[in-house]
Amino acid sequence: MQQADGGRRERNDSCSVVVLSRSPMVAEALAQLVRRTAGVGAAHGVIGDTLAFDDQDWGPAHLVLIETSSQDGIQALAVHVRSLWPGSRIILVGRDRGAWCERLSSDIGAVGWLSSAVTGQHLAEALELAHVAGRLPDLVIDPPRPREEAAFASLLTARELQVLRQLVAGHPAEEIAQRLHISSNTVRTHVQNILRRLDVHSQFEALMVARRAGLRGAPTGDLDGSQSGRWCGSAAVRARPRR
Amino acid sequence: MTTSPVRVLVADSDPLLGAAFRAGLEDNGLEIVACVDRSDDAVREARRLVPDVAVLAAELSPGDAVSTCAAIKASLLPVRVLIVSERPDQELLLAAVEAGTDGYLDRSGRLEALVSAIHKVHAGEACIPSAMLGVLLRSLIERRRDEDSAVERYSRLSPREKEVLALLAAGMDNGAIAEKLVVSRHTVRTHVQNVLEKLEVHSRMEVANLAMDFNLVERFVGKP
Repeated sequence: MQQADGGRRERNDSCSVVVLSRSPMVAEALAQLVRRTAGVGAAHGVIGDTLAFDDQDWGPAHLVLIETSSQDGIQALAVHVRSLWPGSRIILVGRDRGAWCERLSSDIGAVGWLSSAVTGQHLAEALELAHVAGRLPDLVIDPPRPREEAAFASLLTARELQVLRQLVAGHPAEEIAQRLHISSNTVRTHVQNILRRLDVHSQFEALMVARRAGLRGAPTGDLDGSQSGRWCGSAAVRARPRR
Repeated sequence: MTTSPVRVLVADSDPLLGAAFRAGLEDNGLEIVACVDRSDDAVREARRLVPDVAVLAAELSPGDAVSTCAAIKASLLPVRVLIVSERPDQELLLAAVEAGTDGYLDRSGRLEALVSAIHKVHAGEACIPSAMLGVLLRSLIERRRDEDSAVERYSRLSPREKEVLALLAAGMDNGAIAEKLVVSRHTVRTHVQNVLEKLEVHSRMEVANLAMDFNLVERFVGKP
């Protein structure tokens, strides 16, 4: 429930998510990942002939995450989800790097879609934005353009670029601190500076901007931007992707 | 009882699923030493970190899970391998077993099935779904029989015919074989006919397949 100006933060923060997948294993693992986001509770269910849940007492869901590798049956599932949890927001998580997710997510009235090529951090940011703003970051990532990387790099200091590469590789802050032999607080400061210099408001947006510029993750973070131009999208905003 | 947690490497081509499995497995008391999304990273990290168990998603790229498993096993390090596929896949299971995997699982089970499979292979047990075991054993026995039969037929070849087979399996045509062996094309044709007949196959293609399937040429190199 969104409250007026004086509303307590923890109240706005609490968000319940239901994760649905055809694979019980994947649903459960994704739900565990979702639970790691502060202020988020998660349950999981399995998409079969009927929806099966482990937790019968699961209350209202704010967000419903549907993980799927095919479009089959997703329309009917969305109708069912809406009848179970009126007012819930649906996010699609598609396996095919987004090839068909955009249309499907708009067809079922989802707030947006994510490719499973994004990292766990991206998911956390997307959940937060979907819950708070009712949309996903609508960003377009074109295949890497090396020349842009140089221009991009000139915006940041060498150390900030190093930190950003680690982020692109999907490493959490504590791990970055270890890898670069600096404290978590220093990492936080670097990240804040990166956001300011890139004129973006979240790590997720910074990552999208970095990818668009063709920045490679270090050392293992190459998500291969050449496969598909987009990694996520918002059906609610419906901005035209730039080519 | 205090035992150190099982150290696990997770390799999944989808980073989001990798992160999800990392979270799910960590919450079940396992230690995730690395989480990678490429097969070459999986091999490198397995060699560097020597995890107790490497969990490989079947859809791994650029090399698939089977070749990744073979590469990890070739290092002779004490790393157990568990291959996980989207759906039950009997062919993949056979290939995985031949590549030396310690376990195989599909994702239709619950997370606890994955956790217990990891503990099982860590303890040195083979972990194969019992429902798939029958077909697997039959395929392995069949393959063994086919192999015995192929070797037996190969033994019927004369030394010269074995030479011809080696060149044929290497993709040479009759002209090239004739040049190599310094005989006439006509002689090569006769040799090839005899090879086909003795191996009980009907085309050069089949000969090449048979030779490659059972390593007939490499296996007997240097043996007359």
